[in-house]
Amino acid sequence: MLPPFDKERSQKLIYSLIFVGLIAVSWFAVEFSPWQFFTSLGEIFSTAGRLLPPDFSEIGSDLVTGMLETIAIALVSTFLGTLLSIPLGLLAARNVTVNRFAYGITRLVLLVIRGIPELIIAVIFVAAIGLGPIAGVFALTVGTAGFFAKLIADTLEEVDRKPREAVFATGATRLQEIASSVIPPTSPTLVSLFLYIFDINLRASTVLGIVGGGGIGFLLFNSIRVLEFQATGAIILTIFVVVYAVELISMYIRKQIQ
Amino acid sequence: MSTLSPRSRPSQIKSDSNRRLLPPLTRQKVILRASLFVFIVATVWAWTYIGIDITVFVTGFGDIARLLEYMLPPRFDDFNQALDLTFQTLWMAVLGTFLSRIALRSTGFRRSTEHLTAPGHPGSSSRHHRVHPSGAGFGLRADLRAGLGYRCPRGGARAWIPLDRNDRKAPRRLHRVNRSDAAGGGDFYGWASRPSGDVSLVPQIIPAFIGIVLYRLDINLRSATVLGLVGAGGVGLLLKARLGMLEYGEALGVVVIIIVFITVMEFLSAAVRGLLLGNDNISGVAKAPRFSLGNQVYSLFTRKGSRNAQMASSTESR
Repeated sequence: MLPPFDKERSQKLIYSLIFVGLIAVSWFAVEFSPWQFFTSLGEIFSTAGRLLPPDFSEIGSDLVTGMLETIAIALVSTFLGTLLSIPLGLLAARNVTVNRFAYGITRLVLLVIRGIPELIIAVIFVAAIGLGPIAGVFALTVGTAGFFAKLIADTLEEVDRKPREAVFATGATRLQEIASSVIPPTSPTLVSLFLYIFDINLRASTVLGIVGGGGIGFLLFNSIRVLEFQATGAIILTIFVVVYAVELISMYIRKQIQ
Repeated sequence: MSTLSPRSRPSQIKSDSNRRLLPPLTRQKVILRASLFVFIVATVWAWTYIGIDITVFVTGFGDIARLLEYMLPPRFDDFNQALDLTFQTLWMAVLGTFLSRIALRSTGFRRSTEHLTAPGHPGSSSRHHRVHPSGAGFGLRADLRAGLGYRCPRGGARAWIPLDRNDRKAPRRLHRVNRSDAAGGGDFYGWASRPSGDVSLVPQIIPAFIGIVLYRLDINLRSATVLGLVGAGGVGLLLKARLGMLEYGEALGVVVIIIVFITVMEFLSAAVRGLLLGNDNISGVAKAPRFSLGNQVYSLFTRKGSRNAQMASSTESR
């Protein structure tokens, strides 16, 4: 027994067919062959095997320097991005913003920033400023400002209106109203988001070096280019350990403050 | 807070009223303040480590302004090539999404404890690998047991299929389905557990599945645009080439094409999501939980179908 073939069902069928058609077109356009996929599995595994055992001896000091630079980029960009995103977030929250015009403009700016992938922003900053961590910091700061401001705005919009009205009734100024009835109830969420942003920035800063944005990514890209796969394995392992450690710390703090 | 008796002295009343009432210092606050202190110290260290100062900012902004002078206005000399590579990006994203969804279906079911709950079963092992990396030891033991023929011989190998992070949503969808419908309906006809799951579970998770696929396609499109920067094809390749040849006007043209492309795809995605899902979603999670330019453009055309449009309208009504 099948459901009746009504308008909704026919619409779903048409869109499903379009999606299947897209898959078929992409299959041929990319010249994807399952046979090639399965035969290349051997090469993929053999390349992955060459990463083992990780060799720390040749790149020991560079590895530490690169990783510290990566962490430093993530920290500074998170800090600068947060500084930028707080006013942007306040302006982009419908219930806190100064007027509708400021709200609309800020939301548009945030949407455009978030529309551009961070690596592309990094490429542009590298072209402008030159190779090095400064370009990476600038790129991640812009990306963080766009993303975190949007998250702040969305969090502030969920604040209950009644405490704000109560504070307003005491004769408080707008700033006092925000400081006493908007920020305190949202602070655990905002701290969680902040930790999440730091997590994202740490991951992003590991690949910035690929486009010349400084950090361990530069070392990673170079080691692959000169076919030093065991060094690559060491770099990947280090990145994994550091990212995982930071995630564990973030999880612990998040759990404690909730 | 001290209590004042009617016979309290005026000086005592005055000193108590001057005292600020502060909330107690809880463990939560101590951890929060300690974390903040550590972050500030770490940021100061990072600042000095990278060597950022005011001159860096001034010269940096000057360099960016100079680059923008070179870039503006954007040029579209090799528009056709950019268009070809943009479509290549699209095909890469569609195919990547499709292939990952094939893998998702099996592991999603396998990881759902509602569907398969036996300890040591590949369902539980896969779940531990993906959701709780710390449970890898338990999962590995479970995999070994599964690999040795415990309940499902091939399960262990299947549990290792690498997937994107979003596939962890699949078992959650499965947890929410109506179990009595699924099991009762299937068992009533005397089906084995697998066909019963396919016939009664799958239709219930279809809306959520469509939502996730579209959401994942959005993410893959963004990722595919930058894959070219490391030589993996797509429009990023052209951007890298133009910047490498110092053709900044054309590079900005490529960036404009990328932004337009991402916006158009988000618009189409929001439209398809609205038409296919409408309000028929499972617990409000079937739609893309993102506030995007494409979604906003779509919500200008229609006020239904987009979760953001719904959120906006609910905010307005409040």
